[in-house]
Amino acid sequence: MTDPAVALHEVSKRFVHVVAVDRLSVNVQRGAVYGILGPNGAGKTTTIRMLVGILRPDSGTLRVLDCDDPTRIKARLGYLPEEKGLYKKMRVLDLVVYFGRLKGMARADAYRQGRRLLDEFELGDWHDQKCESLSKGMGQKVQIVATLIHDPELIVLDEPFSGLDPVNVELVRNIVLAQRQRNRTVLLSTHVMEQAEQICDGLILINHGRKLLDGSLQDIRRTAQRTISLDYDGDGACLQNLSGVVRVNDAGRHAELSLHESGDAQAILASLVNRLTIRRFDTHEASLHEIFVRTVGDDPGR
Amino acid sequence: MILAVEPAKALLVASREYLENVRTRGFWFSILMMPFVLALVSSAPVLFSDAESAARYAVLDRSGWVADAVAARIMHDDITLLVAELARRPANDRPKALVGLGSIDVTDKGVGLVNETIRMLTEIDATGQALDVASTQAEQIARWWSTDPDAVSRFTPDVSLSRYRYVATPDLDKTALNHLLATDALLGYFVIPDDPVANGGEAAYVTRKLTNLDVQRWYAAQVTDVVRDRRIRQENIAPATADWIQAPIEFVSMRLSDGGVETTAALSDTLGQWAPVAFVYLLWISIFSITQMLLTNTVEEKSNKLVEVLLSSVAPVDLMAGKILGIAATGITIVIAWLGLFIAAVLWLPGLLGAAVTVNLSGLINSPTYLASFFVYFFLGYLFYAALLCGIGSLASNLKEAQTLMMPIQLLLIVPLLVMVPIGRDPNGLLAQVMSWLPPFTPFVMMNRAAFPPSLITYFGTTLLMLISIYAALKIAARVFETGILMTGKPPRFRHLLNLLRGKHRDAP
Repeated sequence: MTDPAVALHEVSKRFVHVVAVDRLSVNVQRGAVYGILGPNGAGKTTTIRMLVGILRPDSGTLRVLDCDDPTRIKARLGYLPEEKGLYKKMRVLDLVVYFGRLKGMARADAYRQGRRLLDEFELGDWHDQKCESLSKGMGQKVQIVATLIHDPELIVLDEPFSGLDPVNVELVRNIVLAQRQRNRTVLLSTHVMEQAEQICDGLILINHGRKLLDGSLQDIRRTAQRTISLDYDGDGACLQNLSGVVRVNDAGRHAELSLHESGDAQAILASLVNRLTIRRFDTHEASLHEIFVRTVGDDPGR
Repeated sequence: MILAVEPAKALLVASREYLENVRTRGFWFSILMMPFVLALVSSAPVLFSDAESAARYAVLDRSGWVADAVAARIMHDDITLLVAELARRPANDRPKALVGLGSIDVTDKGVGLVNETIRMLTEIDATGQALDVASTQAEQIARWWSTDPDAVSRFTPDVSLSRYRYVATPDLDKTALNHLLATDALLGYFVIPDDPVANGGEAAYVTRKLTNLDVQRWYAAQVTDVVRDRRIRQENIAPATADWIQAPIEFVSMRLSDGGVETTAALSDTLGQWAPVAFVYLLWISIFSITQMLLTNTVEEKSNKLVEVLLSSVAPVDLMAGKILGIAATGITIVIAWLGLFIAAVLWLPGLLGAAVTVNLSGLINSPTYLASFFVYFFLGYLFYAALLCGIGSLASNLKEAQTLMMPIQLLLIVPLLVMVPIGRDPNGLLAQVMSWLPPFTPFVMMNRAAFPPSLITYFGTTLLMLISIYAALKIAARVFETGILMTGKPPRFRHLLNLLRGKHRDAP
């Protein structure tokens, strides 16, 4: 097996008053799409900034593409930050060429590759326009072109879906999947669980700078509790204190019941039919959204 | 440790900055506006004096003779000026009303014509009737003078008529005159005492606008002259004796050259010695405006959220170096354009306007010292202040915050302007010597002293000190920039900044 694209071991980062990342360890395999999930302020952006060499860890070791110092391999990394901006007065092609050249590309290569990618992203007609004339979605596409122009081995996307309409969300999703097909490694942070569920091979969930969950999506789901979705009429008070149920999320006529490992869905159904009118009852694996809410909710923090 | 800049990346950043600035309208605007503004400022007094109507004054003459004597004196001086001007101009360059005037006899400096014209004017004044037919030269001039005073003052701007207009108010008392002041019909009026020859006191100038006392100075001098003449006559002093007693002693400015030769100081010498002050001013404007550009640019890039993606490609120090270089290139382009326009304007503009080149700039332009010093000190000063402003710009989230943080630097920059004239007067005095060794002021003060260059040791010493300071400023700025550029929210407190410079918690969240 090849070395992982990213390997963090016990990495910590402290700012004046807060510990942003606390002894975090994670491995990301090459060619994988890996998601970093966590609530606001969990330490996702700080982790990402350390990976791309903008910040230095205070302790722990960090290897990115077999190098201990990401600042030395900036040309092999592509980074799209959460807060995205463009030089408004620059022309679209000049802008992506500029970012390509900052990554060490020759001018002619950067122009050729820039034109090719802009065409591919259906921005070919806009190459001569100033960035200020672009719509938000087009601007975001230009930023992605600027991130990919030098064909980086590791692509780091901080909240790539934020602020996009469904059409552009789909577009970004396809870009990520296309990069995986080319055996590029993609690391992305997101709040959109559905997207993470659809495209990520592996996930890490962090809160207060610490890791709560880590592994492939299947592994995470397998270890998570199964869930009963219930639509009912009647007094939901009887949903509390059911045997084999560890958590109840009751919304009045709809409830989600998390099952203990030994919980028996049939027995629960049997005990409820006499007390409530059951309109729907099904068991399924927990969704990533449920796992996220449950795990972060259970985390006592510090 | 030296500043580890990666030149290729810094140059790439610099060239982008330069091209982006050069392509803006604001860039060309600032190049073209500056000479325009300078021209406007320098010509403003002339423009405004033309536009503004002449100051109107009245006289409350209790002596019964002073106002008339002064009026005659003013009339004499003005008509003399007018006749001289008419004699100087060819017939086709005279006002239309005087086309048929013919050549003027100046064998007696035109005294005959002057006296005749005054006599005609006095007559017109006395009868209150304009001349219907004007055949003689004196009649033509008198008719023109009495019917179109504005044309007269346009033709000969030096006549007092163009600046001050006497308003006859024979029967008005102080109350009535004060009313005229209140309605702005008059700028002011003079009160001449009963017997100024015996006692000059009690004379007064009454006005609501004490900011404009030109008319008072001018009229007071005229009154003093006529009263003095009257006193001399009263004491039976011969006019020649009186002139001799009153003759002032004229001092001639001599210039001692480096070779020990004394020569009469020409205007160009005086100009040459004040030229460094002009250069200091240009230096100051250049450094001030260009470092401002750098500050604005840094803050904008930070608030544009572009910085983070840039930092994933270049090190902060490369980004900072690139910015400083790019803006320097922009600035130097502007300064060269300004200098070029300035020199061109001084050399050719008077010629284009039909006047002789009065200012001899050749000494200035041909002497490489001034221009070379200017560019050297421009770079030294710029680098020093650019480092400070880059650091500050990186700490601020918006321009308003940046302006607040800029305050100490702005105060620092005011000092060279305050000492500019004192140092120009005494370029090797204690003030100049001390301030030359204070790095924030070195470029300005040394430029200020260029007309009387200090010793080579001072040049080398101050430049070395300046270079060390620039290096230190860049080091500190790089460290602040590295952290500050990613900071969000309020700028850090001073204590936090010190910790940061010592290397504690250097990264920003």
